[in-house]
Amino acid sequence: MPPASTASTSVLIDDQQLHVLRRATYGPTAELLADIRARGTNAWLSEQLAPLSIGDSAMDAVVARFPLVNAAISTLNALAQPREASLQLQQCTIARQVWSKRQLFEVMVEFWSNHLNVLTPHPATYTLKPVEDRAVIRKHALGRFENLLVADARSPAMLHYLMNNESEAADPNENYGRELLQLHTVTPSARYTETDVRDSALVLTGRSTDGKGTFVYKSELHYVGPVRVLGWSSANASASGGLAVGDSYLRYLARHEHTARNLSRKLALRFVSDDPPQSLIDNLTEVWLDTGGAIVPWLRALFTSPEFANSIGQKNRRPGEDVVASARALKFQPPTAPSNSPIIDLLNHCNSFGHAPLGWGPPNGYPDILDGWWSVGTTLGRCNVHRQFTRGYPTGLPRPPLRDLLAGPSMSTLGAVVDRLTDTLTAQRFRDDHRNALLAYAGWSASAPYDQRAVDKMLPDLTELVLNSAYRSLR
Amino acid sequence: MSAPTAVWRRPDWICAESERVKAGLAEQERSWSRGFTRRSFLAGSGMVLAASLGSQLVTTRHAYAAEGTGKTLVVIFLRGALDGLATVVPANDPNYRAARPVIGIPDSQLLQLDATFGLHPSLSPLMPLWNSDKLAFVHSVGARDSNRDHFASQSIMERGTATLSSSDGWLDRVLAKDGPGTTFRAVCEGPSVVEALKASRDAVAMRGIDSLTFNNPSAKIADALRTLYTGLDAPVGALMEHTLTAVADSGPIKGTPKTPQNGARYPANAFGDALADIVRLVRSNCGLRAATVDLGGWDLHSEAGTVTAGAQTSHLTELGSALSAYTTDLGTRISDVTTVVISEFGRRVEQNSSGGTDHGFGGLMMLIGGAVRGGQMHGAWPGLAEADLTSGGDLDIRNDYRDVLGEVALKALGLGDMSGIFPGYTVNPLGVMR
Repeated sequence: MPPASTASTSVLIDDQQLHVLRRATYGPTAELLADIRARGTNAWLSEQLAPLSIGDSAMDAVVARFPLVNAAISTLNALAQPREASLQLQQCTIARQVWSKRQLFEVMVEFWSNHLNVLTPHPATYTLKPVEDRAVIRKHALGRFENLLVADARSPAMLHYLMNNESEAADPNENYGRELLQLHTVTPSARYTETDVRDSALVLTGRSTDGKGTFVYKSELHYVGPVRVLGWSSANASASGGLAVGDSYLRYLARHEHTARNLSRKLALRFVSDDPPQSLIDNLTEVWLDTGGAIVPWLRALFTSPEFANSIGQKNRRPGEDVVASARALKFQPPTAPSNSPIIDLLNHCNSFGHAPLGWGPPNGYPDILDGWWSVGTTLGRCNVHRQFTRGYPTGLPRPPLRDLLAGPSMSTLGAVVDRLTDTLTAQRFRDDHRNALLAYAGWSASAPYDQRAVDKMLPDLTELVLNSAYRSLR
Repeated sequence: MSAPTAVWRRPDWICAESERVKAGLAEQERSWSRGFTRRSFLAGSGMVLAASLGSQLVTTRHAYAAEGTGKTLVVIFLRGALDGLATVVPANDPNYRAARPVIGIPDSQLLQLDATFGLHPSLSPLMPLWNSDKLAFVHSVGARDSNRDHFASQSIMERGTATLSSSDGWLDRVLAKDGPGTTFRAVCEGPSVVEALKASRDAVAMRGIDSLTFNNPSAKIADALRTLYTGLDAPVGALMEHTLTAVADSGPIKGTPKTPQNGARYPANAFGDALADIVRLVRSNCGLRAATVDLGGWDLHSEAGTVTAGAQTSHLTELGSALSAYTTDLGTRISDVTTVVISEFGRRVEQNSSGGTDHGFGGLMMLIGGAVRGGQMHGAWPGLAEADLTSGGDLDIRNDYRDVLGEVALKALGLGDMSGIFPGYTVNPLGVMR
């Protein structure tokens, strides 16, 4: 393992492949690192950007533990406890983040779920969100934004969440029409007016559901007459043509330069830094406009940019990401028993930090910068979760014994034990003062001879400390 | 994150590579000697202003205030836009009846406040406060810059300005004016620091003081974490420092009995827990100056229900019972604690076709405390006649939110004046405080 680079401004080493893994996955593993080293960054990224090319049968078996996630809406409608559907979706989402091999796909699923936020569990979305998750978000997560947006505007979950289902020409509910402009596409930087918002809502009237979770365009609710939003307008002359008019409006918004800029900034916030360079946002905006909002070339441009390469250690794991990354680092395996309660335990940790998957209430999505998570209580709570994880909890998730973290050639000193542990959990050595902090905690001298009893005694605490360290909280 | 100004070096390397030693580096080294670098996290955030840098550095963290000197301001934010017209209801008002045939609160059910208004009966636990002059309301209040968007409007209210160039919160500026304080001078009961306190990064966000406990029993854990987060060119270093300081200083608060006093009985939910924790902080004399609690769920676009059943009634019941327990628990300390309950905007006067209300304009504020000029309504009231409504059917804003919050903060905390708290605005007190 290379030593911490003295030229880096971060404690994280300047290792571009490790850097890609920290950002494009829910946490590097030894297997992923070996894979990207063997095949090269471009090949690895290309595979991740074509997720169906990656066999994920073990994950399929885990997903099957959550039958409501892929159940037909008719099945979901018949549930005595519809809330269970959204709870299964949350649990399955965490499971996918921990165990799916299609890691970048899962990261982008979260990105789009957050961008087009729909709260679940919530009575309005209990049964609708699982359908939206698979038929809208997952279907288009690496496709074209335009298609994602058009599908989202037919998604019962979104239509109920933002109440477009009850919006009618005589009494439009402006909720969706407003958020579509403000959050999903152009943002207030496009300087739309309240009249634009009103017309945005009018264009969308009629997009509703049958009350049983299926999209229905109700032409009798659609406003007929000229509509104009920013540079788009339509005579909107017939009720029957209203759905097509709406699609044309959505495609206009999707292609708008301010939409490209909004999303490029968001992407840079996710993958580069809390204050991303303008040059990067400009370049991503250009790629987006050149490709008509195609997501794969946009991601490729991001990961090959110098701004990305120069951003090592500039992002922090949010609390939910920490739970997942720690589970991956300790090689938690899916439950073998029928009960999903250990996965529910993971979800509950995320809930306790206010960061459950799909659990954000307002339509603006979870914050993606450290400021949004500035919490003494959570910082401490994360340390406590790490302690639980290193002590066999949650029970029911098989994992290798901690001593496997020290696997490899025999070690002659206790200092070597600390180095092996940080090699395994962070793929690098700690800076000397940080290494000394671990040794001091254990009461070890670096040069003291290897001592099995001392190692057995201190390994859980040292593992906990490494998980607590900035080498893990930074990504 | 902007480019860091200096590269981390171990002190002995700094000596060896003297050509790299610059003023900035020396400054960082001094801060490291205290364990952490603050400057880099300030530089790393595009949101932090020079003013908050000042407040950060003058704040000396000593753990406890002198007993009995503490005044506290508690801000409860009802997220989602409270329906003020279902809370403090215009009584015997034909316009109200006409606008809300289904969800309107019948006059016969109202708890009379004054000649014009009655209280929703679910808030009956608050009537003793009204009758003892410790509870007041301001109707028709809000931010005239608000735009019916929850986030933008909450942000305006929390930053105390609609100007985006001012990105610190109004409570940040209140605390900067208040001067140095203790570790627990500002507490956000919840998962993260609210926008009103975000810039200074001084606030302790937590879910109750008991949560600030390491499960790791080792006496060495804090030292180990402190060293592990020393010398990072990353803002998370300051967050860990803040965490360790809060944990270290939390002991006496945890030693303050958790049991509610004076027979107070809180509802068993997160909101009740948060209020009980604030009272415990107050009783501990930890120097708490500002505390925030959020309560969501008020965005009742549909099926708000009636006075006897439904979401509006159940939400107000939760609010009323928790606030009643809170004031009971405070006991005589209510003279030291001023509580203001706010929401981002009001709701439309007319009920909608879904049995709810859409986003409106003028809202409602509630003030509780011994220092409040209670038992009365404050501010102007435009009424609900069609000619008096704004933007096609909304209660107008006749009372600027800053006039209320400004006066409350000034009197509650004994600030000298309110200059600079609301950029570009001069507070005109309504007389809500004694």
